[in-house]
Amino acid sequence: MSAVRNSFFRRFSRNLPAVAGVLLILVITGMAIAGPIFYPAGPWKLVGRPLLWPGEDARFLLGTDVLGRDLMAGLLHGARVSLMIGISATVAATLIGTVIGAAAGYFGGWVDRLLMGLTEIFQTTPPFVLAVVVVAAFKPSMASIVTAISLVSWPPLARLVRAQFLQLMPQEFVLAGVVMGMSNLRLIVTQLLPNALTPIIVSSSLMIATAILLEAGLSFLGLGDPNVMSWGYIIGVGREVLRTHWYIITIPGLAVLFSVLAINLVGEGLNDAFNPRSRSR
Amino acid sequence: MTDDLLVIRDLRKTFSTPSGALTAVSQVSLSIKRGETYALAGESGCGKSTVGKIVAALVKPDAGSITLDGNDLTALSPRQLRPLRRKVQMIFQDPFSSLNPRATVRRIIEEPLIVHGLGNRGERRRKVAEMMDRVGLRPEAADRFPHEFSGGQRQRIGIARALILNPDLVVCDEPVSALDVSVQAQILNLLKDLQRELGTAYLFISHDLSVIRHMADRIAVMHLGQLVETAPRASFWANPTHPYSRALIAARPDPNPRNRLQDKPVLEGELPSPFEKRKGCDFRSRCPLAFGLCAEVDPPLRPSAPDHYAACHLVDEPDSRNHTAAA
Amino acid sequence: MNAILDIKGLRACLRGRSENAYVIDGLDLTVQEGEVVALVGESGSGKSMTAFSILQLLPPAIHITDGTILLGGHDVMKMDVRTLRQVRGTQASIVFQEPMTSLNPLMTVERQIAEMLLIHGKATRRTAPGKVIELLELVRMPDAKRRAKQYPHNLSGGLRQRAMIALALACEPRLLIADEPTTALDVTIQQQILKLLLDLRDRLGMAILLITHDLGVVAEMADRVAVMYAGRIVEHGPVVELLEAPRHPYTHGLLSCLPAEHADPDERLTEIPGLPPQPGSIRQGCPFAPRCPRSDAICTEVEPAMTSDGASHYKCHHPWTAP
Repeated sequence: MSAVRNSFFRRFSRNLPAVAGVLLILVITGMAIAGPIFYPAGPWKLVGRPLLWPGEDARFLLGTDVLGRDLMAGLLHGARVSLMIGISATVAATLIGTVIGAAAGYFGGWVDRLLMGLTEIFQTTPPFVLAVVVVAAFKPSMASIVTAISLVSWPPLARLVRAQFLQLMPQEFVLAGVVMGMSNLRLIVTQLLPNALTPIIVSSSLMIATAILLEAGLSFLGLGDPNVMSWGYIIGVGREVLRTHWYIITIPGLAVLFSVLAINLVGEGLNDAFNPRSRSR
Repeated sequence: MTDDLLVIRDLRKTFSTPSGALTAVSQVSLSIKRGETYALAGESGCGKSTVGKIVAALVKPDAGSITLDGNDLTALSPRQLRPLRRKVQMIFQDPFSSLNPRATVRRIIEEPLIVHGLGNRGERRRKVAEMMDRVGLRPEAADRFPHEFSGGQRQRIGIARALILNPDLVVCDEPVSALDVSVQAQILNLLKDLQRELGTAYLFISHDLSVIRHMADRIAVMHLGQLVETAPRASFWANPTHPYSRALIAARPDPNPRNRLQDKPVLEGELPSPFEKRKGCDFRSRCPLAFGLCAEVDPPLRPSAPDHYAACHLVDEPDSRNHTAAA
Repeated sequence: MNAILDIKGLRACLRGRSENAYVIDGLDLTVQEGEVVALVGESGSGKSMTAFSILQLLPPAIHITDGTILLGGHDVMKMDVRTLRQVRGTQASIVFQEPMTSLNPLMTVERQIAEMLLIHGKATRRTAPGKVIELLELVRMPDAKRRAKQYPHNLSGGLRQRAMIALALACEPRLLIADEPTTALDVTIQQQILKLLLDLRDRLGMAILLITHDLGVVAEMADRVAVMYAGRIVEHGPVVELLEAPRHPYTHGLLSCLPAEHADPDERLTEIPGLPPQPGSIRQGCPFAPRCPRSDAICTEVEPAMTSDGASHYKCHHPWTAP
C-alpha cells in the first residue's frame, strides 16, 4: 500500500495548480474556523453605519452592508455555511448515486431499467429549478437545502458508477470472485467498489463546488436558511445597491469564485494523480 | 462410473446478440474423471470457453445437466450453489485483468478462505504462505500489488488463488496463451506438479494443440458449438479421426525447418455463419472429404475405436467393420 | 544480391529515464531483395521497436541515438517528412497484429485502399476502383467486389488481415514488414495468411521482414532468422542451421521449452528460469547471463562479440557446439 500511496502523493504534489487549490481550501477552512472566534457575536449584529466602503472605517476592514452589518463577519461565517452545505450535500448525493448506480450496474435487467428511468427523470429536470421547488415546498432550512442539493446532484454520479460497474463486471477478477462463491454484497463491496472509487472521488470532489454554487443561488433568491448567513445571502441582499456599492456583492462573489476554483483544481489534481494511464507499471 | 467427477449431458446455450440468436454450445456431453486433465480444443468462437464458464457456474445453460459428484448443479439455486463452488475453481487467460488491482497478493490468495469462512486469521495466513511457496512465489511478494509482477508471476498468483480451496476440478481457460514461450513452460510444469501433489482434475481449454498434447489425458475437439471428436490421449494422437481434428493438427506451426509451409495442405473455404440455422455437417464447407450426405444430415458422434468418438459420416464403427469382415 | 534493408549499430533509448535505458542496443540486420527474414523474440525484446524504427514510426517516448537504417540504399533517419511519406508504402510498408485497430473503422475497405493509391499517384479517381478489386483479388479476398464495399467490422479477423495486406501492397513495396501478422488469428486462418504472404513474395518479388514470437511460424516461412534478446541480435543464420543446431543458449532454450512432438507427456518441459531483463537493467556482460545455464564469470563481465562459424553467427562465450 505504501508504495502506491507514496507515488500518489508525489504525483499530486508535483501538480502546482492542485497544490494551490489545496492551499486555497485550507485558507477557506481557516476562515470558517476563525469566524466564531473573531466575531463571537455572529454576522447579524448591526455594528456600524450602513454602506461603509472597505477601509473607510478601520474597524470594518471589508466595510458594512445595507443594514450596517460587518461584511468581514459575514464572509467568515458564510465560509462555514458554504463548506458545511457543500460537503454534506455531496456526501448525501454520493451515497444515493453510488447505491443506485451500483444496484443498476450489478443487477442489470429490470432493476437497471427502473433505476435508470428514475435517474433520467431527475436528469431531464433542470437541477436549479428542481432545487427551488424542493426548498420552496419545505421551509427553507439547512436540512431542506442540503436535501434539495443532494437530490438534484446524484444522477450523474449514479450513471458514472453504473458505467464503471458495467466495465468492471466482465473482467476476470470479478468472475474469479463469483467462482469463489462470493455473495452479491461482498462482490460489490470488496471487488467492484474499490476499483470504481477513483472516478467517484474525483467527481464527488467537483460536486462540492456545484453544491456551493447551488446554495449561493438559492440564498440569492431568498430561499436560504434565514438563520444562517451564507455568501449567497449577502449577494442577495447586496444586489439592490449593485450599482452604487458593488463591493457588497463582489466580496462574497469572489469568495464563491475562489472556493469553486480551488475545489476544481483539487478535483483535477486528484484525477491526474489517480489516473492509472500515467502511472508507471 | 464411480470415478466420474463431472458429467455433462446435452448442454445447450444460446446467446441473444444484436445480430440474432447465437448458439454457442449445443448437444455437448462429456465426463471428467477425478485427477485427470480433460482438454477442450478448438478455434475462437467454437464454444469451448462457454463450456468452461458453464462448468464454473458463471453462465447458466439453456438445457442439459451438469452433475458434480452426484449433485446436479443446474437444479440448484444460487444460495444452494455457493457451498459447492469451492469444489470447482477457475484459472483465467488474462493475467492482467484476472487479479483485483486494489488488493495485495496475500489478500487475493486469502479471499477464497474468507469467503468460505475457513480457519481463523492465523491459520489462513499460514495456508496462504504455504500456497505461495508451492506455486513458487517468494514470501515477500505477499504485501505487494499485482501490477508489480510480470505476466508469469501473476499467473502463479491466479493459480494459488484457484487451488487454495483444494478444489476437485479447476477450469483452466487458455492459462498460458498470453505468456511468452519461456514462461509458458514454467506455468505448464507448475500445473502438472500441482496436479500430481493435489490430485486436482483440470478442464483444460486451449487453442494450442502442442500444449494440449503435453497436458491432456483426454481430448475433445469442438467446432461451432459441437463436439466433433473425443478420445483418450494415445488414441487421439495415433488416429485423429475427424477431418477437422486432422486439419487443426496439420495447421499447427511446427518448429521443424524442413517442414515448410509450401508443402502443406491449407484449409480453404469459409465457416458458415453461427447465426444461421444450419443443415448437415458444419465443417463441410471447409472439408476436403465432404460428399452429398454431409449437406443433408448432421453426423452424430460415433465410436471409431474403443472410447474414441467422432462426428463424421466417414467414420466406420469398429463393430460394423467386424461384421462385414465376418460376412 | 542487393540489400533492401541494412541496419547498422542501431540504438534507441527510452526518453526521460535514467541513462542507458536502451530498448534497442547495437542492432545489425540486413534483408536482401526477395528474402524472408524472421526477427524472433519474446515480448520486450525490442523486435516491434525495430520494425517501427525502419519506417520512423517509433512512439515519442523512444528516440534513436546511434546507427543507420538504409532502406533501398537511403538513410531513413536523414529523410525529411515528405520523402519519408513517399518511402512509406512504396519502399516499405507494414502489417500489424491487430487489423481492427490499423484499419479506419469509418471507411469502406475500397476507400482506404483507393486513398493509398491516390496519395502515391498509383491510380486516378477513375482507375482506382478497378485497381482496388485487383488488389483484393491478389490477396484472395473471397467475393472481392462485395467485400470492397464493406466496413472493417463487417469482416472476420482473417479477411480483415487480407484487407490490411492488400492495403500494404497497394504501392508495390519492396519490403513488407509483418509485425506478428497472425498472432490474433486461429491456426487454420493463420496458415492461410502465411501461405498468402509466401505466394505474394514469389509473385511480386518483395522481401518480408517477419516479426514473430512463434518458432513454428519461423520454421514454416523464413529463409533467415535473427533471434533478439534485450534489444540485441544474439544469433542469426539460415533457418535450417539455426533451428536444427542453435548455438546461442537462448535460442537453444527457446526451442527446448516448446512441448516436443513425441516426448513422454510425464516429462517436465525445459524451463528458462527467471525473466527477460528490463531496458537499462543490464550494465555489463552478456544480457542473457543471469538466466543462462552455461554462464560463468566472464559472461557477467564482458559482452561477447558476434562470432561467425560457417553460416551461424552468435554472440556467446560458451556456445553450443555444432553437431
